[in-house]
Amino acid sequence: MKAVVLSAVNKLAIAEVEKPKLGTKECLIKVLACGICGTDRHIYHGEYPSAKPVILGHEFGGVIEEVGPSSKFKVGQVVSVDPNIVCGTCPDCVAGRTAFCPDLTALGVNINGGLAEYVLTPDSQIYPVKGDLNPLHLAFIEPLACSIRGLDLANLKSGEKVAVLGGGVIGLLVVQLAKLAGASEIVLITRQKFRRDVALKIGATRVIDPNSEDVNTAVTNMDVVFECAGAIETFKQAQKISRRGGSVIVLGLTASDATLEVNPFNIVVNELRIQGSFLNPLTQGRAAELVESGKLNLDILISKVIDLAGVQAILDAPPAEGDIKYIACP
Amino acid sequence: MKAAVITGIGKVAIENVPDPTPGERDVIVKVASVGICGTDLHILEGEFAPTLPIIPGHEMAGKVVAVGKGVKEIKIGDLVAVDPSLHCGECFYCRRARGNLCENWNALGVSYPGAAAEFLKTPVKNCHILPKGVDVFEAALIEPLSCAIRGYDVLPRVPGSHYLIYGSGTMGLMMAELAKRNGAASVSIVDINEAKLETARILGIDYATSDVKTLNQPRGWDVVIDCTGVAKAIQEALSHVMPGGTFLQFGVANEKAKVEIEPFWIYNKEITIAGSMAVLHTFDRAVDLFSSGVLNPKVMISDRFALDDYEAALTAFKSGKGRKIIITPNGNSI
Repeated sequence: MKAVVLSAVNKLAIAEVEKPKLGTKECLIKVLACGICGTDRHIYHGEYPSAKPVILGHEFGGVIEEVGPSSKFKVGQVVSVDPNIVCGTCPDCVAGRTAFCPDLTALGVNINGGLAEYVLTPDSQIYPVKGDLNPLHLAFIEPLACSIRGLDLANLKSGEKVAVLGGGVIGLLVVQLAKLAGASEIVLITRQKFRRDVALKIGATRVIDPNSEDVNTAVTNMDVVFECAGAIETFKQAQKISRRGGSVIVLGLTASDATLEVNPFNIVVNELRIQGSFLNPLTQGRAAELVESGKLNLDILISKVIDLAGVQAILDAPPAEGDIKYIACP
Repeated sequence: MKAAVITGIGKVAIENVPDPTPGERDVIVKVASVGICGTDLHILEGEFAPTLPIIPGHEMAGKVVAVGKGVKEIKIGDLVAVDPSLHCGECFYCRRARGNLCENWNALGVSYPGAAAEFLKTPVKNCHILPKGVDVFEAALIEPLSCAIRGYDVLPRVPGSHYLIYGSGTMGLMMAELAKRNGAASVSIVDINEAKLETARILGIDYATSDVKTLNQPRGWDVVIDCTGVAKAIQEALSHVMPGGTFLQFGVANEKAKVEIEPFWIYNKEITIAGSMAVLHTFDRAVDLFSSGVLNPKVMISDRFALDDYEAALTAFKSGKGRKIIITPNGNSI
């Protein structure tokens, strides 16, 4: 079969590899769609640890081609896959903090992922969806599950005001989740005009271009601020634009050695809560159901649909102006 | 090995059964202490276990005497408390972080062989190493404590709240101790059994009475917890929830029991009625809290029986005398 194989840092190829052999409690999935994520670019450039060689791709779903003898799934089922595999037996897993499992391995990072014609997936990671789901929407379930984790932690209440910093896939999914949660105002802050226009179509009540307006004065008193850009500048803005007693939910990934100064006095007198949100611990099922429900506008987030041969060019270049989500259909 | 076996409804026997052998990721525990709980009586009456015969015992601690080939995190000689929960990890509820509502729910001592035996086989993930200073002969109390903590995970836990608890048995007393730890302004406990009320007084519970009308709390209590499972007590308990307050159903009632509520009252007084079921990500915290001395085991444990006297222990439990009854299947040393 064909697969996108990372053999070393900055070394990627479309390779012909052997179709994987099925174990007992797993399924062989024919990949219908696999999203390309910023993390893939980080892995490609050696900025995020991964196995090598490894087949990339962790935002995917497909149709079950073969099932192991003790699998509970059936050939032909359309399924979404949670790429993050945890041990289930360590103290963190036992305490319900599965995202912190020290043995966490991920399809497309540590073991072969979805940028291939076929991928082996353990039963534990598989979430069936309805058979007539638009296959491209399978690629959104994993990033949506991460966004839902952020909403869970935000404890957003009906009528509250929300700001979202960053107009990538996560930011634009969070805009839609905030709308579903009943936010009275949703402000999206991003440099790219195209993304601002998309945001206005899917639930943002106001958009801000940080190049032409001072974010800290244009946006104030937000109940919940979602930092989805992963930059120090936006992290600072998030603290400024939240109201006293507000929350900052951090979904964006900054460089691992980046630091910034905070004012502890202000954290106390403003009762500011800064809360990180990591991965998708046990939110994949709800994400799959929400995608199935059709309540989200996902088509507007798709910039380009490519085949496996097109992946390298996408990863070689930074995202083009106006582009949001690239999806590979192997 | 020797084991207590529920062979049929209402029937218990002491039998010789094959020694358990560990699978790849299993541990064999030499049982030091196993508690008797109301659930054991339900099992004896055929209410919980899908298949008899079964070795009961789901509140347990002991020493590791054998480990499977794939076990690295625990070694022979470790003293452990064992979480009896066997959640499948794959069903709808498990994958929504609600494993205590597992659609394929199983538990050691309920549907798999339990600890009323000389040895217990358990998956390694269920074993929690006891911190130094914890007496393994008292550590059977950790499992009921982990259920009590689940109850508090469900409750709002607002410091300065007044708590009213129905039932002064071991669960009521544990709920009362946790109320103190959660910043209660006052803790009151109601029971019809004077001896059980006396235990509450020994533990320093603010008010212990058989008649709630003697307590001066005109608006009712912020939190009312039923630990009796008795419809009549639940009905009375509900009437004492303060407007804006929370009622927690913790005691296991008869499946067919019914109480009356007024929907208008729930609406008009913003009453919350909640339930709490078994253990959910609370066992590790129960180990830590137990180690910190949240319970006084000398008071909580009233009687100890040898494994041969398992039936006598059940009879003593049924009589309502005493507090937690512990079986010591391997005597006083392991």
